[in-house]
Amino acid sequence: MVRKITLIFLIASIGIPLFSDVNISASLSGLVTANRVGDSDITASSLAKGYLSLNSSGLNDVKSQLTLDFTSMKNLGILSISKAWIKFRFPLFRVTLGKNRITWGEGAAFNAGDVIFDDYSAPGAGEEGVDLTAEELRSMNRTLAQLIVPFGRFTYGELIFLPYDFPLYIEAPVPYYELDSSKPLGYSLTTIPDYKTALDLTQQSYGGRFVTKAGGIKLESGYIYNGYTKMHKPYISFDGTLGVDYHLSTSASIENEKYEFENWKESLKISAGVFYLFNLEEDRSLTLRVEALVKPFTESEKSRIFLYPEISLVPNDEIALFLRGIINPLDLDINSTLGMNWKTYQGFSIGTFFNLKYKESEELDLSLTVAVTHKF
Amino acid sequence: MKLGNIAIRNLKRNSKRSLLSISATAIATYSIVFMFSFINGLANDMKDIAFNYTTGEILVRNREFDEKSFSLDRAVDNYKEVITLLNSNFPLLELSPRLKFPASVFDPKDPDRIYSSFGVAVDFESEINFLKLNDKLLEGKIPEGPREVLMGHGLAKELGLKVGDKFTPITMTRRGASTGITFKIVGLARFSDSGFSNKTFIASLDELPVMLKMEGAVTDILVKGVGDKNIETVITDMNNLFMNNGIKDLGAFTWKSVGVGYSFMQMAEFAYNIMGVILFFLASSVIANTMLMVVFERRKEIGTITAMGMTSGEVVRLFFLEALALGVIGAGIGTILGSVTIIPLSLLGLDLSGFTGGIEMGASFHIFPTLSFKSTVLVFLYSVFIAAFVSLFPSRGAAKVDPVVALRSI
Amino acid sequence: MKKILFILLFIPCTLIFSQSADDIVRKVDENSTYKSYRAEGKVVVEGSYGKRTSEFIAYAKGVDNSLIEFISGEEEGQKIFKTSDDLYIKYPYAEDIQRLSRKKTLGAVSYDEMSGERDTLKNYKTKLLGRETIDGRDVYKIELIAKTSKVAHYKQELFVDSENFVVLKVLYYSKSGKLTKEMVTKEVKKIGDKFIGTRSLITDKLKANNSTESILFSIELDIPLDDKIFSLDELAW
Repeated sequence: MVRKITLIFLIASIGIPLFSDVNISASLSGLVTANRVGDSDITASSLAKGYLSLNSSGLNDVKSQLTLDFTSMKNLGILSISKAWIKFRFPLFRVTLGKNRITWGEGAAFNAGDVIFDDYSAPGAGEEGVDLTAEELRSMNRTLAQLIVPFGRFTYGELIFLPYDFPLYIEAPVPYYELDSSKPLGYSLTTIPDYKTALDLTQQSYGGRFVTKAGGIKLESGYIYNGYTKMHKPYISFDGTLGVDYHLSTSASIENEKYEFENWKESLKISAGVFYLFNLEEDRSLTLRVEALVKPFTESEKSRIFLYPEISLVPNDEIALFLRGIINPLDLDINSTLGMNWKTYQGFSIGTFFNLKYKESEELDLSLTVAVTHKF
Repeated sequence: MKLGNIAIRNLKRNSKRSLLSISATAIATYSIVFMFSFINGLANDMKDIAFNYTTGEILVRNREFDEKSFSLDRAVDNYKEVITLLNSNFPLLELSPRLKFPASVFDPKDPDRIYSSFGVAVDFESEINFLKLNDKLLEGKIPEGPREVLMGHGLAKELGLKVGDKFTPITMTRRGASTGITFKIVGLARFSDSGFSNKTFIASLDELPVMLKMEGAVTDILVKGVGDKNIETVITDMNNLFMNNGIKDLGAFTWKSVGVGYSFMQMAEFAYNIMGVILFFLASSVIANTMLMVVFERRKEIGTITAMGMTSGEVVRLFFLEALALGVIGAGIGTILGSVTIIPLSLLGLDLSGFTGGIEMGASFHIFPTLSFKSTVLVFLYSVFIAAFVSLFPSRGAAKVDPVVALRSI
Repeated sequence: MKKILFILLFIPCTLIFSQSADDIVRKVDENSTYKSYRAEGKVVVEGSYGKRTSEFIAYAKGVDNSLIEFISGEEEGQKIFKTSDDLYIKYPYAEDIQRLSRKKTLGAVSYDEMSGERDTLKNYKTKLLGRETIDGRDVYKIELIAKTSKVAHYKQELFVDSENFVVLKVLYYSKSGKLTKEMVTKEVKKIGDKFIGTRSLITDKLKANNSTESILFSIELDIPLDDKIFSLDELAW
């Protein structure tokens, strides 16, 4: 009796979280994959990965986050910093410095407005830079300096500076010597860090965008100059709701001083998508998403259009099922994943992903991945 | 003929070119003057917020009060006696007792959604002077009863409440028991401090301490009207006063040492100054560019006058004088125009609330740009200097060139 | 062959153990379920601000309905009303009633722990770990492991008096195996034919100097209580 009374009292007096300081979160996953490429034998691989994230939110005007990622496979271990940023806010503007996730444009799988990352592809990603097993399909972080000036609740201007962030290695001839000899015997090609390019001011990228909302439509337009590829990349993106959520983006990459349409029409990209969430009774929900990417002038005729359909069902708060894929309707290439995620206890989940790739060359690749994740 | 006269005549001769140089210098100077005044205004604004809303010039509070955990148990007890004591010893200072407490408000439609806010219990009579409450009122009236509150308009908007509505924030009593109090909103106000506007509701000190089980206690006493020079002495005097009267747990602190307000302000000021300096260099480069262009355009003329027997030293001086004249006129116009715009603005203020659309940005939206005599004079001198100085390089180069080459070069 | 034999021997063994663990938990639940009661007592809460004491009167009817009303201390005037699904609080200076949803309370104390026998066995897998002695009393040590993610504690260890089925101690563990809370019953009284814990201390093992002690002075069992006591109407009054 006294125990129950005490428990009721404790629940009632927990009060409400009034403050928060540093939050630490970490996750550890083990993945096992069985793979069959074409007609070859089945191979298996496994890896462990995870992250540790420290979040500060104690101060009202300064925030920071540090996230360490690691991947371990066979005897290889890779430790990387995926996020390390400081945000601060002054009257009239706010600043983000460091490495952070940044998204321009709209779209889960296809985003033509993503002019910052279209030179990249996500780790583990296949065609069109999408990792079909990831929670967030396009999740990439970059070192940046960002200044945001708000002009209203939904309107802001953004200036961004992106330091050189491409692989910092180049192939360079390095002499090799015989013992007791100062004369090089010859040269071998070795990868060396490319500091020169990394520090060269003309290799850096910068740009800006303007985001606003008018008549229920989010309108976003911006521009990036990529100093490394010497490309100007303007984009425009819309996002709104009309019964269903929809988005539409387009962008182009225009090489410096080659401004004629003929020179850049190949790079023209248009992406569009619709998204609908059915809230079924209780916790159940069903979401449908269809996205398309069109490159109307691209040289290879068979890669002018890509489709991304996704259907996902959450029957209760423990299980999530999804089927998603990238389809090329012109040559019927398919890359699809059927996945199930089962959250058992707090922070503990098991994911199973079945991936099927079918290529025009009649090659069929299959893989099955089981991932066990614990967030703590 | 004197060089000065030639210079003046040259300026008149090509009035378009002179006008261009003058307006470039004027615009650059104007921007710099305006920028620095604006930064001054922002700094004053932040100070104003610190003095009126967060700490006062001096903050009297329990020495063991912990801002992070909001330890209400470490309070200023018997605050009325403390106020009387302070009033009798420092009759000229303005005092404001406040009881600040964190509070959560549940969304009535979705009970899992919690809005965090702050309640501040004040003595409304003294706050009408201290906070100038009547000027801040947007709608409704100043609370009179114990369960009436004045709410920041931003918080009301977030919670979807209006004048006449009731709400029940959940908070904690002095020793950590949870409690909820139902208040009625009788007025909405817009404050200079966005934290007050967007997160705060203000109640009366009459009964709130009782409801929070801290009768006769407040968390802070804000002190104003001290003056920068006297702060340290007043603080020493106050601390001695507390000691001598046996109130050992209380301390007086300068606004610079409590909270993050002052360091934040310094950081912000630093950031704005950096922006100011960038603008400054941009403006300088505009002046320099125009001057360089002017001199280069006139290489043929230089050839002619050197062919007529003017020494290279004289040519340089001629161009220097021209540039100096242009600089003085341009910078003068810029400075005067700057002052003419700033002075009325410094009285009326610059309302930026439309500009930011009411987002919480850590400052008020009413900035009063302030002209600083010293920096304005410096900006003027600097602009003149830049204009005259940069003309030296191309004119020196041009003057050294063989007149024949110079004449052919165009 | 030997291996198989070993497994065969092992299976019935665990079956017996787990069955009796279920039985014990069921008996504990039975023992702490009353038709109705009225009790007076106090809580002593120790936190960073020192100690505070509040006196209360508690009423309960059946498994589902209980009401705690505070009559002194910092909680004075506060009423807590619990039904099988919800927890309602009425604060003295609040006009409306606060409903605490499960989400808000999760992580502090397990909500379902007070919901009676059905849920204990529904949400937890039980296992008898053995027998021990606490303060001279012979106890069963039972492990409860959560079956769903909806409960606050992944693992609990119950120490149940083998004679009167009063829970003498509970250890609460997080998923990583860390001891988070400890509950100790410090006094047991026999009222009528039932043994009732009348004094309990819950200590937060993650925070220093953080504990809640409850003491019951007087208990009346199986007395007639008006249903009206357990209504929102009464709470708001």
